[in-house]
Amino acid sequence: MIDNSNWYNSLSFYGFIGIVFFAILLILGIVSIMTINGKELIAVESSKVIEQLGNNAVSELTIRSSEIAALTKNLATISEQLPKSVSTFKSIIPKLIDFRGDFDIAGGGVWPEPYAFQSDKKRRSFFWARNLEGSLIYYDDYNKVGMGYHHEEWYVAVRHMKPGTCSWSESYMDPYSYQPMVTCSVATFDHNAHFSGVVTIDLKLEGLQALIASVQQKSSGYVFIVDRNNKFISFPQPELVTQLDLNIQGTPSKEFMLASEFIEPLFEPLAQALDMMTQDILRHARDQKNYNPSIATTINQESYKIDHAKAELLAAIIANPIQNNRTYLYKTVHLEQEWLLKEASTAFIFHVPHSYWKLVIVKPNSNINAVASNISRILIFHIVATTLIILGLIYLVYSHLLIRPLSQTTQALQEMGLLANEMKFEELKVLEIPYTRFNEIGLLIEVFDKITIQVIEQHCQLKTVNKALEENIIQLTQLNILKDEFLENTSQELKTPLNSIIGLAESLNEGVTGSLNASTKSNLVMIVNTGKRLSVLVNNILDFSKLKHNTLELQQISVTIKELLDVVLTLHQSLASAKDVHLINNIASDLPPAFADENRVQQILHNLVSNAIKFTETGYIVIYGKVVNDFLVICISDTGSGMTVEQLQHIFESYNEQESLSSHIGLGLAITKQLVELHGGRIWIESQIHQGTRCYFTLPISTQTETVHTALLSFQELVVSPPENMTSKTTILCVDDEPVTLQVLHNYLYLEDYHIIQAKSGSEALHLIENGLKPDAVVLDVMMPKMTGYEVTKKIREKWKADELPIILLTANNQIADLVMGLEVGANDYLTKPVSKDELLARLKIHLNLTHLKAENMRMGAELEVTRRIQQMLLPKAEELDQVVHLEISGFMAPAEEVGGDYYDVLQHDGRLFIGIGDATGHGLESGMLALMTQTAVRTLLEHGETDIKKFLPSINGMIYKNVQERMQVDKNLSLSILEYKSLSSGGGVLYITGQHEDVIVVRNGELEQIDTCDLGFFIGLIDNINDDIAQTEILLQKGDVVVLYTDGITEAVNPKDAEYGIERLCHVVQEHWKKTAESIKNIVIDDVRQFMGQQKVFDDITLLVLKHK
Amino acid sequence: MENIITKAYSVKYDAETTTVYFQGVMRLNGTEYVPIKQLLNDILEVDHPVIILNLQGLEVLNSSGISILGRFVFTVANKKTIHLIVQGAEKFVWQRKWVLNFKRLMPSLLLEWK
Repeated sequence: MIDNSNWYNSLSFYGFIGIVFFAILLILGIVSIMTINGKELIAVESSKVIEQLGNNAVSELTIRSSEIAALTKNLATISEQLPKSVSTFKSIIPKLIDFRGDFDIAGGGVWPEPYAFQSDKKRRSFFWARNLEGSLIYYDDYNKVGMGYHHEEWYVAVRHMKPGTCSWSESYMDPYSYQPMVTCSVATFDHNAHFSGVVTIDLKLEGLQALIASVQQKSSGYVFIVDRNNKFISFPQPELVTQLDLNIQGTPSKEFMLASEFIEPLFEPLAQALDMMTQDILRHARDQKNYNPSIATTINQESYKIDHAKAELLAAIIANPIQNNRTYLYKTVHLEQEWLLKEASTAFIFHVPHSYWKLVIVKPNSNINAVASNISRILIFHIVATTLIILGLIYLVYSHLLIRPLSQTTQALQEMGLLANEMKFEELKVLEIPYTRFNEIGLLIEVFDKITIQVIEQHCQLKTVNKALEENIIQLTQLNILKDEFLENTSQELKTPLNSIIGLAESLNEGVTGSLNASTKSNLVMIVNTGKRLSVLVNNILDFSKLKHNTLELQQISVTIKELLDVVLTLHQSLASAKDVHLINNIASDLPPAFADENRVQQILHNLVSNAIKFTETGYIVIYGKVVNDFLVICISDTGSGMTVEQLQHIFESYNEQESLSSHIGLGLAITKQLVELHGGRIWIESQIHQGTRCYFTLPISTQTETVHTALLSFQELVVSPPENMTSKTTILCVDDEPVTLQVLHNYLYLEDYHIIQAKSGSEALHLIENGLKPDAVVLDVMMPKMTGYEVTKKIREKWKADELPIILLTANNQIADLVMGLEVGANDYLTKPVSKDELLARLKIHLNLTHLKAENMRMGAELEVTRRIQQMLLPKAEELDQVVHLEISGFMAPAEEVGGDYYDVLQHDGRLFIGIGDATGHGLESGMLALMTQTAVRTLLEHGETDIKKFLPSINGMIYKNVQERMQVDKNLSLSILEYKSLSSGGGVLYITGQHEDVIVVRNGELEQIDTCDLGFFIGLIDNINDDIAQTEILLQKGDVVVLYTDGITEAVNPKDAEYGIERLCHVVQEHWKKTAESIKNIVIDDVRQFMGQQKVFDDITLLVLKHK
Repeated sequence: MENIITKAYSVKYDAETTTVYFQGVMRLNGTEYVPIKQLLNDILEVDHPVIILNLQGLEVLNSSGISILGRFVFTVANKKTIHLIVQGAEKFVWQRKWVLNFKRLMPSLLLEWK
């Protein structure tokens, strides 16, 4: 089952990641949109907020002004209707002006036309003004000489206006309260509808300040109002926009200035904008139908206080050119550097209806933007939070309704899968997953549950059936085991008596009991043959049983088929000769050996050859072999009756159903086939009726180079070679509890002139030995009561080793396990019963020979050891090398397993230094001796005062040649170089080289040179005279120069891949490390060679000599 | 006269051309050379006018083998009735050195390099 339980593979995780990804995208989108476009939009929105603020303020102003206008109008209507009595006016009018104690109303009055109130008085006005306490005080000032009011602006303009409308004056300082003020004037008419005068209400502008302050508070920045002439009415710092003026009384008083009079360059753009608005009003008025330009002229003429410009504006306003529908915002002005705020700002100019005042809100842009940013931030926060909450909710719902049920379902299914895997069907149960009742998962689970229920039911049924079956099987198995045991036991039991029958019959036939007549002999042969057939059948049953239970083990070794076949054919010869059938072993002697179990191959050949003989009446049976790929193909071809296609199809079946064949073949071919297949080979048969049969089988080729000669050596080979070194009669101790077997052994051995001693039990045999019997070999039965053959073997081995006294075990079980056990306790060989006479004799002989050979081998081992020790003993000692004055010398020699003939020496004689290196061909004692002789010869020559090294070699050659060729008579010779070092008085030295050996490696100042010694000499000991072949060369050496001498053990050392170390690698290593000491160079080279060789066997001695000039 | 064929090396005698072909890697011990020595001795039992030693496929020959060949050359040289031709391959370093030595043993020996 696939394990999907990793959390990162779950749908929940994918869903979560999806939601998070989506949320990040959405938030990024919102933030970027808000950052890029939002601020602008919000800035616009923020401007709208200010517009709204302004509109509200203007509305409030308008409401106030309308209120005042209504009051004034009311006053006008009442004054028109009042009888023109001074007392009446004085008593009623102030009550109206008081307007329920509205303190913003500074005063008011009634101003008739000249002579209209009283025909004798040009000026008869009624005017009240509040004092500090707020009480209305009557003033008669305007009626006095010098004063007058008919030329006042508030008086002149209103007569041209629509009746009942208020004309607002420009702002002024009240002469009584010194407060800024405006006046609302409404014209009165007499009953003839003639203009009869004006009523006025004065409004204190102080009251406006509160309104402005509240606007200002809401807007940040500042707010001010100008009247229709752009004269300031209010300002946050009024002293900045007031100037000194002379009032009516000629006393200086403060007066608001016009915007255009405000001489501040930074304020100028705003002042210009206000003036532009005035121009707009004038222009728009001209487009109005009710506009009367003559009014301006009239007003101008009627009032000296009103100049032409003001008159023109008044006339324009009377036409009321600005009609506000939706907003009072008239204009927005952007100011790069605002005068009061000292930063970039925006001025919002609002139009106030009727009065034509202008409300101006100036706001810093930073503030607008900050507001925008603030709003933007709040908006982003809200949108993001909302998005996250929504996504979270979606995820929760998605997880709750889809992912969790799905993952629970998956987990449950997985668990059920595991249970099913472990065959625990009874633990399966119906799935219960919440929230899935009505959806697709629910449907899936429902279907799955149905299947599960079915599985559980089926499983229960199956269990019942299985139980019944198991009981049957147990019964059957037990029966089968009983059957097998019966077969095996019976077969085992049959073997020994059968062997005895065969053995006794054979020995009778050989004439143990005296000569027999022909008829008895022929009957005995029949008994032997029938017994042998029965024995084969019994063995086949045992083998078949082993093959069936896979307990048959192969002991594969290199097996030479030709020789094995010889044995088999010899055994069948008599049977074949009786039928006029020729047996031909046509296997080539160079056919590679097979990698097989020798006994089993013999069995295979035996079966196939005996089959072939059975079905061949006349002609020949030829066996040949060839190599195909990595296999040997062996063919047994006969000229027999052949087989039909049908017979071929069933030939390898055990107990072939076809009667005609089965009676002849039995288990033989079935076992043969299985044995071949057990070796990794195959077997097949080609045949046609009446045309003979060719049976082929294959076996793997052995990759071992040498054929392993086990105790089971080739039959013929053993018979041919007689036991050596047997001076007296050879004594054989035979041990068996079966008297019949003892008799058979006696019969066989007696005829071969062995001296036989018999023992009926293991203890008896041991008793004989303890009493001083030393047989040459023991033939010992394994299965004996009380003490087995194994135990006897162990006891004997305590006294004699395997190479001192061979023991051959006799066993009825030709099983490997028995063989292994027998060999482990120290037996040399084993034979299976029935013991064939020839085989017993052959085995005995080989083991008696081997005992002899082992002694020989030991001698050779000792020889090699001696050689090795002589070789090492003759090497120059470290102290000798240290005494060398001019050269640092380090030598190394490691003998090969079989000891090669390497030689090196460093000799100082009479102040002269000689170095010799050589290598004798071959291995072993002789090669070692050659090296020893060479060393001795060199030393002898020196002792005798030979000074010319060129003469060394011919002398040594003569000596070696005579010894090797004439005395030792071996094919040995050696390569040898002799070197002499002479120091020079000028410093450095010369190395003279003579004799043929490996190249000399020289490293001078890091430069490498190889000196070929081929022409400096010849093989030593190959020919009698080498006088003409000797030459000499010399090398000049300076301080630090390195000379390396070696034998081919180094250059021809091979690694496990069979590659050679080679001279190039040696040179490379020496050149790389030439600066080091002779000892270091030697160690590095030897380490490198060893590393190169790895586990590979050391074929040859390794010698290395490193010289370094001091 | 049996040819000697193993996985590592082979020594084959072609009677028609009286040529002995040595091939492969021969790193044998003394006793392993016995059949080869026998083969070479068997060839000399018949009086051939020409004997060819073909070493062109012989990658490696250890000192024991060289000794065998050397002795063979020496024996042929002493007979004085046989022309010996040695066919070598210069790519194998050992041959360059040793075939010259054979020439010394038998100056009339004919060398043919591949």
